[in-house]
Amino acid sequence: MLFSSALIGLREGLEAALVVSILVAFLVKTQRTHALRWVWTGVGTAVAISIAVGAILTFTTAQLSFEAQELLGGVLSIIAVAFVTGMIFWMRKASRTIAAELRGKLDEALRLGPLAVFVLSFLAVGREGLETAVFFYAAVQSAQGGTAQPLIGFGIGLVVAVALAYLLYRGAVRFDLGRFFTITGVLLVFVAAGVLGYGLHDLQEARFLPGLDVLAFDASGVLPEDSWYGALLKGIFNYSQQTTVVQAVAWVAYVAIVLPLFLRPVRSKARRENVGADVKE
Amino acid sequence: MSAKSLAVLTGAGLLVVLTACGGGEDDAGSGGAIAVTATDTACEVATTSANAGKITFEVTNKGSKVTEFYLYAKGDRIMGEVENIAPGLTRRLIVDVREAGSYQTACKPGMRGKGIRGEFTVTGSAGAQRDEGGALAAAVREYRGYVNDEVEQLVPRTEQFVAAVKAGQVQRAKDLFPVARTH
Repeated sequence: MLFSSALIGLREGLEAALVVSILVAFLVKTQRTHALRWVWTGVGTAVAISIAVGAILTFTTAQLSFEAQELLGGVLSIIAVAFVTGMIFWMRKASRTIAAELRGKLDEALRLGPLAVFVLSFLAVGREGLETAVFFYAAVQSAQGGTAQPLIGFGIGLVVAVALAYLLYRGAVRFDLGRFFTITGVLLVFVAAGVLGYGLHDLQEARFLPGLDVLAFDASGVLPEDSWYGALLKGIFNYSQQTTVVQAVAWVAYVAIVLPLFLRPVRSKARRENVGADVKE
Repeated sequence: MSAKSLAVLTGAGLLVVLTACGGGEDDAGSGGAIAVTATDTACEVATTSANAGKITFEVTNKGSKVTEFYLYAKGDRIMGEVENIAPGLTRRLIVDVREAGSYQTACKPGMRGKGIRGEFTVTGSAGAQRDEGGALAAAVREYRGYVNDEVEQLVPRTEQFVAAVKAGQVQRAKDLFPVARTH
């Protein structure tokens, strides 16, 4: 009872905290700590809305139709992918700027506006926040009914998720800038590909896209989502034990396009000087 | 616009959208919730039929695996789903079923596979409006006529008022204002 709820907390918590911790590390590494308040505003807004709407759905008879719920989750996920992709290429630009020894101009090169920071943090947490909040209320109600284990387990899972995200942040800020951008950038490519697949699966469930039953693979026997490693994989990379063909194709296409673009070497010197010139303006 | 007010707006907007989607219509369907007891090997639905309308299931997981509960229409079209029902939890699923017919319930211990299926029948119809003697339709018709009437008078009188203001005719504008605002 305790363990399975803890895994749910871990999974939902990681999904939310992972991108946020990388974003925080990114802002800290590039000495843009003043933008951190937009991260916390985004996170806070997402949590507040999730808790409020979760309460409405739990304590009143108001409900979201299944299609609306899945459409919301799917669309938010796909928008989140767009923002994470933007962040990946900011990172690339940043590492290139360093390569061109324009460290002093870093701040200008990374005009990551408050709005982008806010929206990214908001989506990272809000995407799955509603489901997490509704689960939380169900656990509270069961605790009031005398069974506190799901609630305790869920709390433990969330704490572990936040602790892992914090460790990731601590580890990430220790790298030198160049390696930091490469490692977290590659990590984010796989995270975003997973979120994309997840969003498309939601749209398939809402019958907005076809092919919900056309599976690419079913790994529920070998790598079940309710094992601790399955939960970790799902929390970090949105691993799905029953992956549809649409999900698999989108995942492969995203990685095949974005990863080489991110890792492609900085081209000619002239190109680099162009970038420098842009920054000076 | 400051980013902070933008944040608040985004939040408020999302809330409005969500509650608007929610729709709080009448409970045309059954009175109470239908209890579902899920274990790792069974899925017991207390009542296997209900009237069309909002149908509420209360799913209690007495097994050891996390489970999901679905209501399917023909062709496995998902009518509603509640996931992450951890062992020991009771979670609620409200589905708005508009059409009578045969449906299927399913518990999915371990959140995988086709699930443990059961037949579920929905009777009656929630789609038809109960408008005895056409009174509702008549009221709507009359009110629409009234609104149109008022708007037709409001617009030209407001235009006259605006013209007077623009022309600097203060007294005329003062005279026109109370006439226009009565609509």
